[in-house]
Amino acid sequence: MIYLEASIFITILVGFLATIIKKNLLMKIVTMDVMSTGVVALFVVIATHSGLVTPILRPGAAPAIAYADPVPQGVILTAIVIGLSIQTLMLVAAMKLARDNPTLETSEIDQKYL
Amino acid sequence: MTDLAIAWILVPFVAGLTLYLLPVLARGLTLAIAVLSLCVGLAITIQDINFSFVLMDSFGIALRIDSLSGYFIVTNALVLLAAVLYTWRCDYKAFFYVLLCLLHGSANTVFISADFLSLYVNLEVLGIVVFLLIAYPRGDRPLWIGLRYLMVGNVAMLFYLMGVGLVYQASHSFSFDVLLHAPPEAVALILMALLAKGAIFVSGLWLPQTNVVAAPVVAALLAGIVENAGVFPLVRLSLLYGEISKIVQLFALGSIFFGPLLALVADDVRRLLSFSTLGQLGWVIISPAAAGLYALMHGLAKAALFLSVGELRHYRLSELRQHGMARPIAIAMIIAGYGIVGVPLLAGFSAKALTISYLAPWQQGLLYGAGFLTATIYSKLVFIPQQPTSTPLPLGYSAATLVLLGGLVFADAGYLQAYTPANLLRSLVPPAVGLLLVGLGVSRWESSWRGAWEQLEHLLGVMLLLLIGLVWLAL
Repeated sequence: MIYLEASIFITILVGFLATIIKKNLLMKIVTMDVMSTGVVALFVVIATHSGLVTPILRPGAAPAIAYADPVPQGVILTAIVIGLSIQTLMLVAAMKLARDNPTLETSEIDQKYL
Repeated sequence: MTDLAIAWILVPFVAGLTLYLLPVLARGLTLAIAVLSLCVGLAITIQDINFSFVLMDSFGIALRIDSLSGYFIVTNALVLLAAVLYTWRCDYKAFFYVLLCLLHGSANTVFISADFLSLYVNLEVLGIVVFLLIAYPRGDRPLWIGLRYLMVGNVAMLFYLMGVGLVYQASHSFSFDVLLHAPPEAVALILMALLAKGAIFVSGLWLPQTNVVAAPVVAALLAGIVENAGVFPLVRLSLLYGEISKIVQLFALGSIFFGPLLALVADDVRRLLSFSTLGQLGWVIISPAAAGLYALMHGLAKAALFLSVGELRHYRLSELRQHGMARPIAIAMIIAGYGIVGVPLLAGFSAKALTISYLAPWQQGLLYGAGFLTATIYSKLVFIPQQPTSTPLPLGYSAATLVLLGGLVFADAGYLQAYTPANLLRSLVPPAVGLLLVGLGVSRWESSWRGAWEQLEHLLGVMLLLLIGLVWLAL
């Protein structure tokens, strides 16, 4: 479990550092998604602290089964949807920007428009 | 009461979706929403309504309405009202008003949310709507600036979400009340994200260029609504926890000096106003008990200033000094500017007095010093030559300014105890010194210098530094 959590934190950190290091706008958007995947995974792991069984009540199932906590899984759906819509908006904007800045180098775009 | 509150939260969202089907209602419906929220906000503030309710089971998803939220709601409503009046005769499409409705609704929900999850959702909705508003003209420059805003905001909110996960892990609740049960890393993550989102100190450097590129009415909305929504959670958390209040005050003090110092050397009037906003947001959060009145004052005055800037033909201060500006616009800008400086009879006076009254003596001294900086910045406006107008001002602009400046005068009643001889005397010194300094030629320091720190990589990199600093502070 501890290795799982450690790799999740590493994923988030790698994603974040790559948003700074990568020069290309598309790469920055993709790395942001890597970071958000890490955060989603963190919530899933938090949900499994109480158990691994899917939290669906079946007739005849023993009540003492260790169910996974449905709350973090439920709330992270909102974050997934929001992340997806932001991703889409950013890609559309990048598409429009690419017409005048074919390389999509952020430092160049910054110099041009700042 | 609970049902009424929920209905009121839903109204702007329902209206926004209705406008897709009935675009003809756009202006009227948005205006009606602004008036409704104004009434609700005033009722909450004046009657000092204070109640909270839990929305869902036992996970701490709750809303809380009190007079602090009341002040922020009134600001939100008045700025929206001004924006609708300002754009009444312009050819903005119904989509623009849909965005205004959603902006208003999500900001209102931020002002009454009492848990980390509804805060997250509403701040993200706010971020998306602001991106769409900035990118509305669809030029490359607004698109890039909007994209930058969205990226910085989203990365900050991902860190925030990590913090929220850790809070839930520690106490199985999302409520604000359980923050301190969580490990210090969670506190640091959440604070870092909120500081970046609320444009406090160095992490707020995304703000100046965003305000410059956005259309005047959008810049006014940013200053009056969005930035208030960014700092509100910090105020709420400071009120709940003394430890967090201390950390937030540290950053607020940084912001209070950092913003005006940069504003002093800005050569563009829009950048001057934005850097001043950085400083003023520090004033809002430094004493959380006075934050409502200060945010109201600053939101109204800054929105009026940005709308006025939209009517100018030149933005560079040197050009403005050469060509002058129309007298009514100049007068509106001077009134709003001195409102922020804290001249008696305008809300800035009572807001500043109330803010300072809650602080320790050494902090009062520092804030008083910062007051001189602010006064110097706005005294520059007085030295710009005024010209009689040949063409009448647009009706929308006049109506919007009247609403905002009228609000600025009425809000002064929020803390009438401020009118003591000592306070009155103290409030007149900074403007006098400011005028003197500008007369002596402070304007020589203006330059078109742009720090590399406003580039996207640097904005993101600062977050990491801030996070390390905050973990160190929180431990």
